[in-house]
Amino acid sequence: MSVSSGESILREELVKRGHTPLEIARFIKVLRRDGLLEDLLNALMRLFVVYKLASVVDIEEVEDVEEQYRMLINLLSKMCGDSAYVRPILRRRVNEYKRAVNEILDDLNESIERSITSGLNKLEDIRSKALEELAEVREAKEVIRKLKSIPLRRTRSPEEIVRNVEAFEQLLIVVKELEKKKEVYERSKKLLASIERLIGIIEEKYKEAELVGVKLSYVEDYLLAARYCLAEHVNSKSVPSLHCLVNAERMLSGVLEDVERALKYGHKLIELKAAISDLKAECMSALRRLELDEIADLMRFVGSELPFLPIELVSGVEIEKLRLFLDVAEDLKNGLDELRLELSFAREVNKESLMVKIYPLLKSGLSSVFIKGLAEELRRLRLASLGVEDLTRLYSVWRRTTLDMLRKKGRLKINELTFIPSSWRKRFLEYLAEEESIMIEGDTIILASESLKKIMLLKRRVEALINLVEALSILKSVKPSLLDDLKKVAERLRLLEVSVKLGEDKRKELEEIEKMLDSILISMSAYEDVLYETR
Amino acid sequence: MAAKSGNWDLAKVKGPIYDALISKIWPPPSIEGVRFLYSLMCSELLDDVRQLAYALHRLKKLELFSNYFGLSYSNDVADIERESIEMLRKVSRDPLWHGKAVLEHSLVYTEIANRYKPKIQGIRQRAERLEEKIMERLSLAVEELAAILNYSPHAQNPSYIFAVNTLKRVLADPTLLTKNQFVALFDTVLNLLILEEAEEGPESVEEVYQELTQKEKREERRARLEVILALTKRYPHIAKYALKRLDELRPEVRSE
Repeated sequence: MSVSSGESILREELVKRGHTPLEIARFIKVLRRDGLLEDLLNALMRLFVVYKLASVVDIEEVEDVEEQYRMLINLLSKMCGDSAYVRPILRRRVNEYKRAVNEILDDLNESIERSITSGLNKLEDIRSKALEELAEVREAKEVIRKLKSIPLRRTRSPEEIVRNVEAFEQLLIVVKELEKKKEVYERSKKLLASIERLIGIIEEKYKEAELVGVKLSYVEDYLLAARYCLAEHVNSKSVPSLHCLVNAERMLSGVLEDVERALKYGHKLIELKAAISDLKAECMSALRRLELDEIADLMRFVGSELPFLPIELVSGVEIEKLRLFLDVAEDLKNGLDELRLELSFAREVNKESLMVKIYPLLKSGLSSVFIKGLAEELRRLRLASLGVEDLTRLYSVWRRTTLDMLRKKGRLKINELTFIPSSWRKRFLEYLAEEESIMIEGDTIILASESLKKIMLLKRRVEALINLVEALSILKSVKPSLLDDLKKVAERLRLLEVSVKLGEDKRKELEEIEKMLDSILISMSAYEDVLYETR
Repeated sequence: MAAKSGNWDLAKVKGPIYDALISKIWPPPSIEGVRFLYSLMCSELLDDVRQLAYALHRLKKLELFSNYFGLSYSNDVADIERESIEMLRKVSRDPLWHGKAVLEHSLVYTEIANRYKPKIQGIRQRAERLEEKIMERLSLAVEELAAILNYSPHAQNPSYIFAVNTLKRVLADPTLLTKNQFVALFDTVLNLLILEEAEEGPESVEEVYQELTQKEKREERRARLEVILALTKRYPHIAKYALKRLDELRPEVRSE
């Protein structure tokens, strides 16, 4: 901006007010001669700065400036047309005009100064706000540096102010764009926090569900992807993709819902299973009291349709199945409860009508979950009724067969009981062990005759003694023969227990072994005394 | 937390989708697989892939069970599995992913999803159709097994009847049965018979099967005959009862 550009503004304004170029040229000449022009042009230049600032920020003082400017131009226009001022001969009102112009100019300059200060202050506010806003935006570093480098307050010349304001204005466009990204950053920050929180909760609930017996293995895929999502966004230098984060959050919320549902169902199922087994036990004892052992045996199979826990679900689709099982278990529990109530007060029960009541209990699992869409109705009923009739005999058949085999062989491996489904073998043997004198050692079942029990007991004692003597021999100088003797006893016992029924010679052998053990024990007790003394 | 440090113990990385499909493309330990899993999540394909992996899981279980009935679907299942892996490999190699900072391009994800969602769903539907077919055959096989064993002296053995019935029931949802539980049931059915001596070989069953299938035109009935042959081949000691079952079916066989 130069003095001539200020002059051209003045010319334009005067032309607008109907003055001819000749009049204006003469007027300017007079103004210069009177020493008014320079102050006028200075004011006009500073006025330009005000307008520049006002185009960037709102300045209240601009209204005063405009009014005073209008007054000044009006006065100048009047002076331009007044021959008493312009004509060199007349020049009667020169001083009057000069005073008026100077008065308005003083006011105008003052307003302009206030406007510029206010405008610059506002720019300064904008700058500090922008710096604050962009602090977290990774891409804003360059803009921040440039923003900081613009000297708003230190400059005084109008040209410099205008140049700085223009540069500031350019930067503000970039800042506005970056501020939009700031929103993205803020949202992404919230989303990342939410994802992290969800991962934490899901991991916790997932582990809890696993403890309950429901393993939702598909959750691991989601956790894996979500953890990678977190790592990727934390380490990334570019703008985060909200789309990905929103999607991840949505998916994890869905997974959390699933896990919570599965957990709830798992807890409920365990509760119901426990309640069912309690009720079953009560019903069984009531049935035995009524001497209906056959039906009591049948009760063991009530609830065998319920899923085996732990259960692994490889898709959320399967959770719905758990709910179906809950319905079955609930029905079963209610049915058993009714039966229990009825049985607890009954003194005599009609077997037929009891079977009618137990039958739906046995079928509850099949009718609501499994049987759907399987074989045709009649065939199903026929087979199912066959199954129920046979079930009453099933336990007794298993028991008879197992005991027969045991009597023949003396001992059996659990997996030799192939006629019993493997998942039931253990439970069956537990029942059997309650009723019959059988012994379960690891995976071997032994028919426990009196002599065999004796051998087992002796064997355990000898084993314990061997351990003791070995431990003692480390502490004290124990006669090595003692340990040898014990080992001999163990060896003889091992040979002896091969056969179940003891003949006369074996019985003698057992007696001998017992005597040997007694003599060892006597020498052991002598040792104990020595030990106590030396302590 | 592993995510913050970005340190991944790749030996511990797992999950059904990762194990069944992605690890076949990038054998672990490799971060590529994890990255791809994440891309699937961003493009909203993960749910579809999960459903596909689940369908494959069911198919594999059914394949295992059908082996016990002498039926083999290994090739069909392997085809579906290969196709699924190929499809995922294709997704992973799509030029759209590459050469772009994928994080910034949500449009890329949408485009990828539009491009592959229908294809992945297509494979899943095919897997489900195969599943239906195997289930149908398995139900038929259990029915036929029961019918064949009706001729054995063990037909009234309670544990056997109970096992057959349970087999029928669990076929409605084989995924809830572990392999061991299934095998236990199956063993109960067949162990009693193994004790018997085989009087007839599966060859004589095959002769009758050939004779009957030539005449039989109905699809369902032919499948029934096939199942009987498969069962006999798998368990030759049931041949003599299978022959009786075939004789029972003989009058019903007709060419249309």
